[in-house]
Amino acid sequence: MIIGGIVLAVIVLYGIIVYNSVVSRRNKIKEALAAIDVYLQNRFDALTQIAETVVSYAKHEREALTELTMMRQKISALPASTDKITQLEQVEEGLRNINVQVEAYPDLKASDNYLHLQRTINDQEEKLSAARRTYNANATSYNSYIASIPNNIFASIFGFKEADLLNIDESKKAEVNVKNILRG
Amino acid sequence: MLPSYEETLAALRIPEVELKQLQQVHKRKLRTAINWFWISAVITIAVCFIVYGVAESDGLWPILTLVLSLFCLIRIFSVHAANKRAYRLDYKHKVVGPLADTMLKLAKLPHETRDYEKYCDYAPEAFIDRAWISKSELFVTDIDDITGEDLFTGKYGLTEFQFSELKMTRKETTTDTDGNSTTTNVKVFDGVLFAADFKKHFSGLTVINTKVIKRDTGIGKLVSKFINAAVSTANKRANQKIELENVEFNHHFIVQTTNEIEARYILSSVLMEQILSFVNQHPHPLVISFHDSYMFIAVYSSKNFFDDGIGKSTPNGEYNLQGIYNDLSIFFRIIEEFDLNTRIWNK
Repeated sequence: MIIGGIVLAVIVLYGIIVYNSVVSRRNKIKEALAAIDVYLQNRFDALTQIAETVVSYAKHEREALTELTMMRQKISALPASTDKITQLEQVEEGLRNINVQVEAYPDLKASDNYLHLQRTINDQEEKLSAARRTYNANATSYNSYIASIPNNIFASIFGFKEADLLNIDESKKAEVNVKNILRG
Repeated sequence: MLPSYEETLAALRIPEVELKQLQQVHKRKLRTAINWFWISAVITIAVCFIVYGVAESDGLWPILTLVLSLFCLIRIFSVHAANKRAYRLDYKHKVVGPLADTMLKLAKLPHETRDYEKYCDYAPEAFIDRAWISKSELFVTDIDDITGEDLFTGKYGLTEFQFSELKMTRKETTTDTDGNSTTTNVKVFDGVLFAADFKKHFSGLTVINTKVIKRDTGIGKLVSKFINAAVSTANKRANQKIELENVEFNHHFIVQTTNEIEARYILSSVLMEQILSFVNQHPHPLVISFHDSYMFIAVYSSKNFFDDGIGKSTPNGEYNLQGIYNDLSIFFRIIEEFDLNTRIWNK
């Protein structure tokens, strides 16, 4: 009876420890996701500023920029998730298509404002990359923890599910042909 | 890329005449001290002969002259030591400083722009000050005494840097069972501390400690985890231990940080490879920290850096600066090897 009680107490205690560990890991994933959201917003803002300067030269792109900004506002209102990140990146792709036209305006490209914005984007890209790496590291740690024995028993009791990893878009995995890009 | 030793030597104007003149002055001082010793020795012998031999008395004069002779003998050693110190200092001012500056001025960096600067100032008796040592966050214990020498400061490309030799100790008092207390000086650090303005902006703290024991599997992994944590010099403020994607990097180092995302922002895959390459080329244990947009590297070694070959010459009579050149190259190359001049981010 006493032994049974002790065994039960150990199981309950272990269950509490597992629960707390999983919650802590899950919170780290949420924190990384929130950071990705912030850096995406910052990158989008920098890209928009470049797009604004390009549009002041190439007036026919004004409509496209307005549409993209409205789409972005709708997506921003959503809670942080991997789907939201994918949608944001699609909107940003549209911005980059506007910004590539800066090649036609060498004065704009050499301006201090443009260079500063470009450095801001580079910075945000690095931070975004770091946030993604952090997310994936924490998600992997969380997934390994809830999949290992005997934690998987408690994880299924408490309803913890595997976290998705952030994957690279298939188009970005393809080999890059620089010649084709330069030809336009 | 830094110039070769031969290129540097060819461009360096060593003031040989001045240095030789200095050596002549020192030799004269030493000869004077030796001459006084011989004079006092002869006087001592003469006085002893007169007092004990001829007069057969117990006078104090022989003792006084003996004391004078001993004083003159001690004076020889102190003059020799003072000469050596003065010569080293003068040699460092006239040779080591210009050597460092010439190395940077002749260096060729990729993608040089008009913003690039290349110069190095040298103060042989100065060292990195306490404010910078604290800023590095590399030394968790109290430091009671700091000494050092050979402070180099300057700019190489877009990167400002400074480094010097440092010896830091703390006082430890122990009390035995009888209540007697003994204070000893415990070494905290002996080596070179290098600081450079990093190419990215960040505000947190990330510390990279070399693992003492490197075991990645089995019981060895558990044991090494405890031992490495026990001997860690990492600041306790960096309390998040993280593992990065580079397996070899994790095998050699423990990374602790105040902000995981910032640590990964700093430690890109390229930088991790650069750090591994640097460590493989240099045998001294080291700890690296990134704090407040600066990079700090503490190289642990009891070797006397930047002093090798002072006053010595090669068989054909030239000044032997190879050792000092090699020591300086280690630290100047940090800026090249870690690509600190690539500034494509806002800072």
